[in-house]
Amino acid sequence: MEVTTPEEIFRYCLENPDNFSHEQLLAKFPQHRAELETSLLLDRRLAESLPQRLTPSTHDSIKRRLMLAAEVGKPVGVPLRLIIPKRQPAWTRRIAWAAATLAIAVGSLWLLAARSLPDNPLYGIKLATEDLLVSASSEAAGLVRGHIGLANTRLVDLRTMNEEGKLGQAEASLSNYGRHLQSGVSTWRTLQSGAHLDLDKLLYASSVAGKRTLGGFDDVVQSLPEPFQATITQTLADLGTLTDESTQKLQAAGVNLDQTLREAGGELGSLLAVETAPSPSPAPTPRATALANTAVPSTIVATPLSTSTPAATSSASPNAEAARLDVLYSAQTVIANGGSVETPVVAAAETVIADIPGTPLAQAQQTVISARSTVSPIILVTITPTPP
Amino acid sequence: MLTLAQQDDKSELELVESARGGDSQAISTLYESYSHRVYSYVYLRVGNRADAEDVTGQVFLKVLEKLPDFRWQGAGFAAWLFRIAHNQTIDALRKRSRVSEYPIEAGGDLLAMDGSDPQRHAERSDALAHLREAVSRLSDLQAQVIILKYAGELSNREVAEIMSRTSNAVSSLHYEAIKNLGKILSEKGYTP
Repeated sequence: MEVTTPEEIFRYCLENPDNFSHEQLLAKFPQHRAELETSLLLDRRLAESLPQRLTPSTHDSIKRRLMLAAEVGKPVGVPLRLIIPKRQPAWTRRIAWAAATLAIAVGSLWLLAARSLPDNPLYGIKLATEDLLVSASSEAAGLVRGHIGLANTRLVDLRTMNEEGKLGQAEASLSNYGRHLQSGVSTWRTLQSGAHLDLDKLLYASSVAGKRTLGGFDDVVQSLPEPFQATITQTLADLGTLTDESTQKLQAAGVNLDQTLREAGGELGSLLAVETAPSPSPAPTPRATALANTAVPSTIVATPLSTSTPAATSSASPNAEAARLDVLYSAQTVIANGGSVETPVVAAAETVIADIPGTPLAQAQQTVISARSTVSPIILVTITPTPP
Repeated sequence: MLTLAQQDDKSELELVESARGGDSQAISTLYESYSHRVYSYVYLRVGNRADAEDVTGQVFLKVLEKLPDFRWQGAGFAAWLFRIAHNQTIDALRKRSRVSEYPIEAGGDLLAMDGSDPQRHAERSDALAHLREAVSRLSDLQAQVIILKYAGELSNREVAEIMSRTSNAVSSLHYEAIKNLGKILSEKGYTP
């Protein structure tokens, strides 16, 4: 190949059809050596430095949503043409199509919101959606599991934000955590004592997880706004009270506390992963003790907090929770659109339930899917055919 | 006999056709092939990881939505995909209403993920910051060629298809961009 201009020489060297070494290429064009050397070096640096990679968790999260969208997009159940009668006036058909488009858009928005953290504008949608999910439960035990499950999910959000150095932006998470904790505990206290040992264990393990997580923010608490600090303090006090109450119930039933923590699965398990028991534990740091004891009634003794930093959660844990929500809502979309419950998406939702029986989110999922009910209008717009 | 490029095109054509037919494995394979490249491209355009991740997700959802309309022509699937990425990026930048299209984010934020040793990490972080700043000072066309070729890892033919130009025009833009980058970096006293 005849190359004469600097551009042609550069292109030839990049393509290197004869597989010359770098030095051989430079020697081939001595009159352009200086410029060629710089250009080829730059080419190499650009090739090394510019390509970026998604983090494994984000890569997997996007892929999950893509595959779910591909699954939901498959023709299932009742074709749209049967939902919209042929003889409908054009304007009603347009409205129905607009409603369907809105439903898909909202569903897509939800899919993006499901994995969001407090620093994402879609986080509010995620929290609101979860509230709808938990409120679908009609029985007290389900409500307890639902609220405590979401509270634990908030702990994971808080921990993730802390790990990313963004705890100061997570006030909404802490507030939501406190609200679900309070709702779950209030309902738990209305239940007959001794009749719900699984819930007593759940509350105990969750209170320990809460104290460990919030106690793990020692290093950054001072840098948080005063109201945020005050909320952490009060929440730790509430958790101390909860630990005492649940401990008394479990000990009265002869339940081993250490084993209860060891048996905790799912998100709760990952939150407790560092240590298996809060006591006997190393002496708390002065600050941890101060936080735990501030504003605590004199009759309550705060359980000593762990002083070690919780081990990094496997990147799958918060995303595993988001994945379960993904599957749930995709299944709801199919069902609400008149789709068959035999579709892979619904089967996947039921598989999720079967895989993690007994966890709070699983109970909430089962309640919603078992009800086969239309999801709240916030999530979907139902297409109602007009009678001919 | 097909050339290597033609063989690659043929197998990718089959993959895309399978994906259009709803084959989950084909969709998954296409995602695995292009996810990091699309992310690279978007990240260098929007300048921060969170926005780049969101836009990347939107790109692939849009690809899935528009796959039934895709027709294989010219440079093929990659060019079509990156045209979608380009449009989604423009939309995101408009919504964000920032002044600069190439805001500089600390390279360490991203490179911390690569697990390399601290010295290598520092070197890469430094190189990325300098190169990105230099790219931001190129003309729009030259910058587009650099980002598509190196971040998107696209051939001249594919870049030409995306930018609606000839391959020769892209080669010229590439060459001019490299020369200008050299001058910019030299003025800053940075040796690549």
